[in-house]
Amino acid sequence: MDSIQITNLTYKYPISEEPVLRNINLNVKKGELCAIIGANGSGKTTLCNAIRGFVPKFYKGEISGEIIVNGKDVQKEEIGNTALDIGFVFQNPFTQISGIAKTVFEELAYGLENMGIEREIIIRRVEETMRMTKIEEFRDRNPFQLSGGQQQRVALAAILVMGQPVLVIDEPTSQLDPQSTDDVFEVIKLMKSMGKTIVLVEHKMEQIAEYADHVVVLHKGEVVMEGTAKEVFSNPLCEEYHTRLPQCTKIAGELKNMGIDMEGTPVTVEETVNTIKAVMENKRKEMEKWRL
Amino acid sequence: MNNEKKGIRADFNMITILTIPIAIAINYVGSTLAGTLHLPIYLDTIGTFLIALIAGPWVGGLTGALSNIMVSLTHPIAMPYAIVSCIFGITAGFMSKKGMFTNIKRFILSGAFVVMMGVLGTIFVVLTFFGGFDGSTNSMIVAAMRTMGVPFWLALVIGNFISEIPDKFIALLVPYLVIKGMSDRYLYKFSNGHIFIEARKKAKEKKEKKAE
Amino acid sequence: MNMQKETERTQKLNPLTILYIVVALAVISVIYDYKVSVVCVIVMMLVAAGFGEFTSYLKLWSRSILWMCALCFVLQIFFIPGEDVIWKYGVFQVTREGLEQASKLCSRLFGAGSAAILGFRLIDLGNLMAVLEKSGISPTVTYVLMSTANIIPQMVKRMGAILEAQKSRGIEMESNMLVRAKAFLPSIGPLILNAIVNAEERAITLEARAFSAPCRKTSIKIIPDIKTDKIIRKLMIAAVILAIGGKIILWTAFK
Repeated sequence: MDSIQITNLTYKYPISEEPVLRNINLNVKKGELCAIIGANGSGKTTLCNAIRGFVPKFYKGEISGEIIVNGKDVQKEEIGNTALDIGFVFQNPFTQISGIAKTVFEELAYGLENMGIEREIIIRRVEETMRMTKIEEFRDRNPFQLSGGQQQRVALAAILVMGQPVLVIDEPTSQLDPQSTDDVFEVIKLMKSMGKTIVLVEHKMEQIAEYADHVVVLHKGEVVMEGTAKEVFSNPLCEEYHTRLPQCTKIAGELKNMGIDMEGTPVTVEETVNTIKAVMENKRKEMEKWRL
Repeated sequence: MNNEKKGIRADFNMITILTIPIAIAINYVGSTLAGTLHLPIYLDTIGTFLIALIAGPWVGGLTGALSNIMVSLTHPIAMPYAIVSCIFGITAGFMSKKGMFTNIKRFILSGAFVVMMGVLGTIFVVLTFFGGFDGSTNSMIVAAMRTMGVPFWLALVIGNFISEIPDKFIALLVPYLVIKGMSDRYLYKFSNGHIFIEARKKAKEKKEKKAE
Repeated sequence: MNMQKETERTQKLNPLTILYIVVALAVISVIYDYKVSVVCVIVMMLVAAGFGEFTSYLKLWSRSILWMCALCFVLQIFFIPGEDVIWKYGVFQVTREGLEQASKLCSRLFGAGSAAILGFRLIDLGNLMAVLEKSGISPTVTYVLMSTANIIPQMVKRMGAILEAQKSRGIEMESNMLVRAKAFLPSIGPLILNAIVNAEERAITLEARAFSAPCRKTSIKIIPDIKTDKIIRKLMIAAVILAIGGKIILWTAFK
């Protein structure tokens, strides 16, 4: 079953001349991690906002087409109702602090309080989520006094605790250092293992190659490529749309250019290691044959 | 323009509500900064004016009143002046709604009007609650004039004009310039934002015509 | 450890009860003359002492209220116009009208001001908001108040950082007024713009956290409201009614 169905979506911001999203058709299966990649200004963030309903309700402007999430038409739902179906996390860790919680514990509880969950259940769920996302050590700290990476983990946990089946995560690591990026991806991996449907915008291609089931390339507001990470990254067109390739894929490409015969295009570290091992094994066998 | 609502309820949209605390904080920071720099003016209404200009008189009035109430928790003399702050917010909001902050000529005119309202409001409050003397620098000026034999009423009016004119013009100038620096995208979300956006468009067209 | 102590102290009484006490004392001292105000302020001191806040309250009080009232009183007795001169030295003269009005106005300021800072010292804003929200006040209102209280220290901190940067760029904070005035705009401008941009993202954060979800909200805070609270609140209402009634009787009898 598809969790997200987008048909013929076109959207224009109120003051811009050109549409930022053009005739987008996209289906995301339940439990799938769908990564959206593309150059800056290709409409990735706008697409996230459209799935959550902030476009056009919050940003205004003109929209056509349909977005169905879990069987509900997002545009027809009240903006407050959608919060119960879709979780949303974005770039800036600092502004994802509610601004009224004194501790991280209260910060996580805030969403559940707004949902009208009973006190005992809130406490249980917050405890559980803090344990799973490994932020227990911040429990009594003031969220404003955490580092960016810690704040981003708290933001992810504060959404995860709300338990929505669909999560939209827009460039969660673009303002973070490598260690924090890894920490954030640990949480995303956890979310995926819990069976959440995830739409993720991200620039770190290595992580996408590793975790995404489904990769969508946006270019000037249009979906230009779609498929598994392997299909997308091994397609030579990929680079034309100004997307970076994963390091491994690049290395493999260069090895190929040097005349080393490799099977397929690896996209993850593991695959690359295996492919290179296979090449070396072949070479060894060849050498042995030759010696004989 | 689609999905644009009108009325007070629309003035208080989500983003505006979230800007109210920020406006109050700006008031606070402005007056702290004026103190740090030893400037002889208060500058404690910058946030009120900013939000009144972009979000209208009701939001402005509420922010002004709320701001003084917050301050009065540690500085109780500010409490009665909530009335004046409220008047500032409402006045500036109405003027802005009429497009009176879209260019520098109108700005000066509106500024003068705001100062007038401020002087009237302050005199009313200082007389009713403090008999004319609330211990501020302003009341020192009035006291000094009294010792020189200036009649009470005249001293009050002059004293207040002396402090209100520079204070309110600077406190209005900051939001005026900040709005100039705000992109249409942000302005658009406030109920008075379109006034500034349209004025901007017109000014641009004019310039282009002149260039031709 | 520290936090525990704090919750214990503030949870002694329901914040709403403290609010009732503070408001009642303020109202009573405002409607009567300075003698009653002095009594009310003494009661406030006792209340502060009851919460173990006597010294901190006294410090804040003497620095703000006492000093402020003294200044106002001096200015008012000398400069409020009147006919009946009772004391004179050079250009300074004290009139009977001035003295009367000054003592009336300053006693109000004294009572209400002392009450305001007592409330500020004793009431935990978060707890008060939780109670008010439960009794039906809109979460939007409580959000605005709470968030204001949280944003101000954040902004002051950032202001400090900007000022430091300005200083290191060679802008003299101690030079003449024009230079100092010129430092004002570049200091506050970026702060404001940044804060406004953040407001938009914070709006999205709140929507993501179901702020406008059409549910009845709950709270993880348990704020006890015991029998003592209810009795004190009723007593306070009675005191205010009695005080107002007494004032009206005095007033009509006097007439």
